[in-house]
Amino acid sequence: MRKIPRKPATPPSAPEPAEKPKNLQNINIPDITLPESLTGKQTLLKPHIERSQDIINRPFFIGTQQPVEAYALYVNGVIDTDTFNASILRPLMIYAEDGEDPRSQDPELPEYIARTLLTVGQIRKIDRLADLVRDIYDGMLIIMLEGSSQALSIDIQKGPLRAIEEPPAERGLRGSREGFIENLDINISMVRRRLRDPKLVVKKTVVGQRTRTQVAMIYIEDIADPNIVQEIETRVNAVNVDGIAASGMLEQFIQDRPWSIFYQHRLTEKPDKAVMQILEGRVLIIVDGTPTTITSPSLFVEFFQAPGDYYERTWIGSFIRLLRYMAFFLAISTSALYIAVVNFQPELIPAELLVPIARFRNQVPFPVVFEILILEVMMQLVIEAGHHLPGNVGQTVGVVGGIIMGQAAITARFASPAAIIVASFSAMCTFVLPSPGIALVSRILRLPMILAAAAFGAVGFALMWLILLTHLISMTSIGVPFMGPLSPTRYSDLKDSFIRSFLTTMKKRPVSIPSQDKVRQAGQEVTGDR
Amino acid sequence: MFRRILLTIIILSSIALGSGCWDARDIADRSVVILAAVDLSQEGGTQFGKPVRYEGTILLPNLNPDTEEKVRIEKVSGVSISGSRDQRAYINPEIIMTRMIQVYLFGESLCISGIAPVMDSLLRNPVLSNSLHLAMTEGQSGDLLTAEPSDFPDLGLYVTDLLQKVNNKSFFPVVTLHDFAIHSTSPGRNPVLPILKEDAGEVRISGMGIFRKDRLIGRVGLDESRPLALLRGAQSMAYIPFIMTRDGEETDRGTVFVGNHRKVRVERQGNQFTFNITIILKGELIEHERSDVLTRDRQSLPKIEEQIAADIESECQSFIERMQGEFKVDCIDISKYALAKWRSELENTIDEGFIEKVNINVDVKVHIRNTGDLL
Amino acid sequence: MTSKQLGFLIMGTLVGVNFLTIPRTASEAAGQDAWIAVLVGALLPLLVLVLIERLGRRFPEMDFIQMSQYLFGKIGGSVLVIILSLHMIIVVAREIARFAFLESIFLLPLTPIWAISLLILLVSLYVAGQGAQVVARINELLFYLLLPAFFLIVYPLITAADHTYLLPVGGSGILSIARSSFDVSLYYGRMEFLMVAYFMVTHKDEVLKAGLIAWGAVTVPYMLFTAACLMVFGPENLQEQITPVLAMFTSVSYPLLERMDMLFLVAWSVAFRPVFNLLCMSGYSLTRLLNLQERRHYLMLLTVAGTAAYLFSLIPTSIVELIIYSGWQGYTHPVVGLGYPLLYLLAAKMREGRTQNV
Repeated sequence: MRKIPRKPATPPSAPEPAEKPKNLQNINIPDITLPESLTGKQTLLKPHIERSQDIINRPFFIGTQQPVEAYALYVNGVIDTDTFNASILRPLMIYAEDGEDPRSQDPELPEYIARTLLTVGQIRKIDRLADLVRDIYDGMLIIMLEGSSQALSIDIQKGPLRAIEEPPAERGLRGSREGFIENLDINISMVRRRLRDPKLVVKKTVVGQRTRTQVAMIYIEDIADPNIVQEIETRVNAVNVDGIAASGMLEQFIQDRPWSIFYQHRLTEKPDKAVMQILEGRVLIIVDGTPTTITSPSLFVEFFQAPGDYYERTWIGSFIRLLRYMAFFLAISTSALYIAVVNFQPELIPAELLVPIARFRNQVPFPVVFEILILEVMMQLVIEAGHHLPGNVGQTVGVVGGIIMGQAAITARFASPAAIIVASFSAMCTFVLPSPGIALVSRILRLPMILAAAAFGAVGFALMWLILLTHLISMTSIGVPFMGPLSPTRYSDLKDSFIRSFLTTMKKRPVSIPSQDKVRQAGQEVTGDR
Repeated sequence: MFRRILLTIIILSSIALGSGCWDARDIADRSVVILAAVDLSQEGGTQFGKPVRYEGTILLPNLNPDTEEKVRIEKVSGVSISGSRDQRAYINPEIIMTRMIQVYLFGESLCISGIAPVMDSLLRNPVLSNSLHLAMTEGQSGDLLTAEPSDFPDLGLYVTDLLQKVNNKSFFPVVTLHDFAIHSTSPGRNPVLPILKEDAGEVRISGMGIFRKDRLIGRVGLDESRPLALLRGAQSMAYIPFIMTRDGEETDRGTVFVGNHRKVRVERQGNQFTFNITIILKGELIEHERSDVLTRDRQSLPKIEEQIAADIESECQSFIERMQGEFKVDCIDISKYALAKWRSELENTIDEGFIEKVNINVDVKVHIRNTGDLL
Repeated sequence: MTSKQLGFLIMGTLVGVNFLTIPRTASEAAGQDAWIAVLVGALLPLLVLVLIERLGRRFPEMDFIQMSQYLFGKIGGSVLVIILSLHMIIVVAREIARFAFLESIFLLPLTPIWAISLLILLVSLYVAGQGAQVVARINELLFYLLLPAFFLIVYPLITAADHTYLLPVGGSGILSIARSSFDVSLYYGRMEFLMVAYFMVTHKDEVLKAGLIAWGAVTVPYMLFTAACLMVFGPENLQEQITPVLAMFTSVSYPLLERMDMLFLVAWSVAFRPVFNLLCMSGYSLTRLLNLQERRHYLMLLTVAGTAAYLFSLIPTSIVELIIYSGWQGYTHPVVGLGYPLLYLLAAKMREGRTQNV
């Protein structure tokens, strides 16, 4: 795996805005200059590292003729030991005196060492205690020297990494099989390799006072709307929390409507999807330690789009899109409609079908709402069980649970066959949805629909949909209307919403996401076959 | 603070609304009516001290799979047709669901005394579909319901299909509740109803009843239902057999399968109205017995067309004579064309003594598309 | 709000339950010429639209409340604003009552009217509580969602229509048509809400165009449906139908789905757009009148207005009373719709004259 050169760690003042409370800033570490003597530095440092037994403190001498006492400090397992031995310890200890004498009291000694002896990429000089402590815990190799107030902070991090795999939740038939992994730098490199525009901006910041998680914001300077970039930056920097563990947590800190059931940002693990989002003027937010990245701002229709739509034939892509919208509607509605029709408006069922349904219902002692709710809970349990059991066992549980329990429920007269069909059909519909976010939402939204239909039949069902639509319309994502391009209707964007129109007709960037450069395709008008 | 109060109010009222479930009626607690029949009561009797007038019979498919009987037939009588439902409480514990009724049958005696009082209870019911089919029966319609077609789930579905698809093979109008209501209330229009009868345990269509507004005034057999349907312009596809003769001798015999279309023009000279009805029949020759090849004998096909046109024309003429002489109502639905031109003048008088005095000319055109030869 | 959204707002406000009943009203006197009456009756809202647009053009910088207080003084202006808000609340009440009765008749016969009305009110409050922009957007979305319902008309037109019921054109006489036109014009009312909504639009020069398109988009379907109902039922039978449009759907058996009327009604049960549109407008003008902080107090005043409308809507206990009260209320539409803009225009003229003399 390629080692990606890493940008210098964030300058201490930039990412932390002034409004942060003082007590959270650099928790209790006095911001003082390091002394020159090695023991002085040791004494100062001791209280901050003595309880961390995984910090290795390796004393050594630089050179052999006039040895200078030095210490290497690092967190065990974080740095690349081979590089440490070969490119740092070896030149310092053995080859140090090949040329001039290293003068032990020279304040320029760190500079000299860095320039002539160390054969690694990133070296930074630090002279503040707070930086020193932070760099140790950020995973740097620290070399402290006798007689210099500067210490060297060397980035030779290497840890065990997961291999790049296809993300299981976003499989596609065509297109890239790569998925993001947990390492921020590798993730950024995956984007860079796909998008070689010099205007691509990568901004890094740190979120979480204690976890110090690195967050990168990636966008194209002359496409993304500066107001949106500014807004996202402000929101990310305003997050004042001791720690975040994953991008899902960051998303909840920067979203517009925390109370809403809907995900307000599209999450993706696929770099090809991320690149396309960036090209439409969005900002990609990658959080270190999470393969799931956030693209922002997002639209409701995005949750029904998969990168594969753009790689397939237009007709196939459009058909699958329509299928997904239908699946979303049915996933939420089927159970509720069944209750409404059976309990309130049976005339909507054709006469030939009504009699058999009524015959089966006659055998079940429970009210239809209760019947549906039992099945619904059963389905949800089967799905959850399938998620948490390892691979093949999970599938087996799904099949066994579905078939055997359904059959048993009919035999035991717990449920009628029609109800089983309804429940399993709506469960099936949730699996069609390409984004895990919308699939989860559709599993929950079914419940209010069922309750509304149970109380008021088809009217309650229709009114609940009105409420749902109003809620969706009132939502924004980073200030951008969430339901665009449907409402407010942007007719030009509709060609990439319910359907996926021909790529040659998408000459402009979507207007639902504000952008600076509107034109996506220049050149001659292409209509029809050439 | 206010938002919290609002939230509380909303949650409380949602609970109040949600726990109501006023209209929830499980399908398992309902009895579904497929077929209903209304008659004038023959037996008499009283309901709450008032003389009984109507008799309602309904056919309910059995929804309990554990029992033998396929259907349940309930007959009750009452002062008014909807009022008779009261009596069902004593014989059926379930909720009677009338919205799935597919066919409504009227007994002969009821048709003679007038259907309008019953129609009201049908049209007033907002959940009842107006596209259900109507028919009248010979004798009491309630007696017909006991017939059991052997190869259909129940009589309701059989009669529904029978009335709905009758115009696929024969010139016969399909009458829905909507048609009947419109025809019996609009000036210048009169409805007709198919007649059903039970024949050796089998239910069949036996003719058509002619109505003046809502009252039965006459009936025609199956032979005369063809000119009636053609003159009314009821869209059908049907078989017409024909016999060709030359010098009194039969030369050919065969069948055409045609669809019909009607055009009406009306002219007026003073108070004399003349209606020119053109009936256009288009279709195919599907059979002719003589073995000539008609593609060679080019005169034959026009001759067949002429023969059929002449047959139908004379049929129609004799029906029109019967209508003007015997029924004295416009059962062929042409007065509306006069109304379309002189509505304000004729509106009040068109239903009395109008159709008897007008001239009606019928012209039949037949277009046969193929020759009936083997391909 | 954009002018396009205002157009959808106008459409949503004009079309309510009356969409289902207008063919009967129109044919009461005009008979076979009901569709002409519908067209002529639509001239009233058109006139109101033009008048309000002319008025609004004079005061492009102000909103409705500022304009009222500028023209009639603090107290006079406030009284006028309150009267208009009350008028809108009463229209809302009528619409709630009519919707509740409709749903009670066709879909929920056993549910008490107060529960259906409360349901409508709660949903409307939620929608209107999201603010004018969301209200405009939901109008837009509902327009597209309900649009397919209009194509249901094609099937009865093909299978059950009889064109002779429309003939002879103009045969019922000018007087009858005029009488029906007046009845119909009361149905069209509500254009006066534009007094408030006009001033929310950003591009005021496009208002007239959007308004005209919306007016056409309301009038043409009304006319089509009236003509279709006439052709299916005939002028005599039409009088017996409470909701002829629904009856038209039930009179034919649609392929695949037999009971299209039920489906249409279920779709239509979300179409109480006038309720939340007008609630939003009255809540907004009351908030501005009291000079309150918008977001918080808007919700409060909206709830007050909604509750008032709800209580009013419970007054009619039967459909007969509802029709009587609705009839009375209908006459306020031309009074308010024409009176307000004319009064304001007159005051503006006088004020202009005065300032010129000074």
